Amino acid sequence: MSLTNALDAIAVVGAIILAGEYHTHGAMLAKILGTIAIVAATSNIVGGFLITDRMLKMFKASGPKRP
Amino acid sequence: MTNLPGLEHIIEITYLIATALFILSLKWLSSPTTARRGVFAGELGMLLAIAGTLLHHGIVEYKWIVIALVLGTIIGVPLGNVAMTAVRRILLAHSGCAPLHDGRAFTRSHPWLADLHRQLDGRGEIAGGIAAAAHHL
Repeated sequence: MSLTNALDAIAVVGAIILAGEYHTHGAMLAKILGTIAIVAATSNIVGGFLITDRMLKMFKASGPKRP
Repeated sequence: MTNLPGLEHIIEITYLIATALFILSLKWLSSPTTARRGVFAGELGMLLAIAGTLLHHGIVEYKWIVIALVLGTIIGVPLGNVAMTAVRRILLAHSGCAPLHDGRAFTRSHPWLADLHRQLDGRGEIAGGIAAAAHHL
């Protein structure tokens, strides 16, 4: 489950390198695409981890067994 | 970022720890009792990987990175707070395998998930969906 999010961290690392590198004016596209990639991947990471955490909270709350 | 002596080593060590945490995270996630610890290990590893990359001397401009990270978080928080009934669909869509796999079938094929399915009054289907998504990555 969180493997998806972990893989997204790698996407963020790549996108940060793209967006943060020094670019001449001609390479603006890389910066723009890198920034969009950071937004997309970060939203996926945050959403994914929140959902996973909520779901695992449900696992912990095990009541008495029903007959 | 100035090129401090030893900075490269710090980055390398950060990446190494992040990798170790990812591996531990996957190991812990394989059991329901340690799954939450696995999630936290994954989060920590991810933060370390991002921090290490931000320290990299090739990164010269931080403005757009910070804006993008904040914007992504703002979009991501509502995504994480959707109704539980929509979770399976979202997770499958996230992992890009929604048309390929049905959580229900995966639940049936794994006995412990089927047991959970009974205990949670059908909500095990969600777990099946996650497991199917994770299984096919």
